[in-house]
Amino acid sequence: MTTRVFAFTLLVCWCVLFVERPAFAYLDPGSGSMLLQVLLGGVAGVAVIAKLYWGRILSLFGIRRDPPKE
Amino acid sequence: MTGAGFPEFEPGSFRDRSARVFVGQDGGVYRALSQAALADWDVLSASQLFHRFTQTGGLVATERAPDETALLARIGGAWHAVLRHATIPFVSYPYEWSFSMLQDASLLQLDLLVAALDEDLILKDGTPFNVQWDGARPVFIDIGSIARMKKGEPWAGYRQFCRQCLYPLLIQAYKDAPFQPWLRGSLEGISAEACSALMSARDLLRPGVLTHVYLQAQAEARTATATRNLKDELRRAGFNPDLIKANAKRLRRLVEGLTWRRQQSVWSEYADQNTYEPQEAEQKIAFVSDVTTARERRLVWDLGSNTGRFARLAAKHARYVVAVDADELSVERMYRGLKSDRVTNVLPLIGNIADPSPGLGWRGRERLPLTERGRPDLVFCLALIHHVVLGANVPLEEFVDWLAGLGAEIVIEFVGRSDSMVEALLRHKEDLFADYDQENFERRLAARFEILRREPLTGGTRTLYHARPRGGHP
Repeated sequence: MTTRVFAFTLLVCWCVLFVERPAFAYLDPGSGSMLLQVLLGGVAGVAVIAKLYWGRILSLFGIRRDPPKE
Repeated sequence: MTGAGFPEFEPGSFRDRSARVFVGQDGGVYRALSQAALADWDVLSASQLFHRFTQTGGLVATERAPDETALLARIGGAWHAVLRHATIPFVSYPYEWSFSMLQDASLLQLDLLVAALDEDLILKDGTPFNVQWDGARPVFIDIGSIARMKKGEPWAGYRQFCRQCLYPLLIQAYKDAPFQPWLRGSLEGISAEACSALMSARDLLRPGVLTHVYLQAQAEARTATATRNLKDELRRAGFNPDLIKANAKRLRRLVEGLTWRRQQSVWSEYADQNTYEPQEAEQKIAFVSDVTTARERRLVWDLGSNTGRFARLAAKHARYVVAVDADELSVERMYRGLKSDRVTNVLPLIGNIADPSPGLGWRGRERLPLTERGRPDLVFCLALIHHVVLGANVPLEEFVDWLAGLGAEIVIEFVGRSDSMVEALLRHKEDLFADYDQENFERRLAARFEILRREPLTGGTRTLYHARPRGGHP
């Protein structure tokens, strides 16, 4: 049961992460797997996800206009 | 390298430029290390992980080469150290392993990864080719793969582990499709996209499919063209080894929980499939025992070994036995039996003599054909010839010639035309096999081998031969 709850949570996180489409250029194709490892890292991953997307969340609410530089 | 041809690095050892393997003039296995790889080795060799796993045999015994200075002078180049590894008796590849073998090899990697993380080390990759076998015990051989962790970086081997370990196990566990042809078809393994395509909507509810397969396939597709430097972003966002450890432990539970269901239904059938009378079986055992007890052999091949009865018999008097059978179930059973009985010198492999493992990878030399990985000094072909000649249509004379080419003594069983197994093979097949008769077989055998002993089995349809190649000195 906990596995399914966990899987569902992951699915929700995933939808949040990929609401925007990335820009087009070549990047190491392993990057998707790298990102997935954050989600599979359990509780410790939540903070990383939040930080990774904090800028975007702020700009989503109009608190900050530009997402952080990459 | 000096350009003088020494060392000639192993053709399969080029992907990691910082640590490359070569075979020394003494036949020992050596690994040349770059400066960075040497720094990794210094940390690893002082770690608890190294001592613990080396002691249990999970990590290949390794030391600085005793003649390192001389070797470094000879190999030149930018090498800073040379390690010497314990030798693996016979090299094998994941596409020759049974389900439980790949499962155990995968678990060993995950155990190493978790232990490594505790000591600020990590595995650079996640490939089952880093694992070899000492009998039925998996041994991690790629010392160069264990390196100091770079803070804030994810496990680089995760995707590879999925492709080459997890997905093959999943398709066999969930879809009942043996993974060996997939891994032989592509050394990189099964992509997340392909694995995802094989899974039904219902499979999404099975452990590991939604996360490691479906989401990973989605992630790969969506990030394939992204411009972000994710590695840097993750580091800044506080990615840490706890995440890798949590994932590794989750992967371990997943892999450990996988089973190949088919084995539970066919086990009993296999035990009853023997067509021998008890007396014939005893006669055959006595014949094989006589040959194997005569003297110690270095390497015995048991071709068509089924569940390894005769391989085990040979193992009592031989240093190492490679037991090959085309049937995944038989090899799976053999492996489980050897593992539970702690037999240490029989390597069970899946292989078909009529369609053997080819040379694969870069230049077709990265992974070698079976016959180039060590020559046997004794070969069993018990109840095999009718499958090769009548089942796979290989001309009888060619089969005998191929055997002679191995340069080893043989114990071969000829199965006559009146045998029920031969009749079964020919039941729905046009009989184009005029060459398949005992007289013709004996003529060819005598041309290529010196027949030392010939013994008909009491059932009247089969005959055993012990022969040695002409010109050989076994």
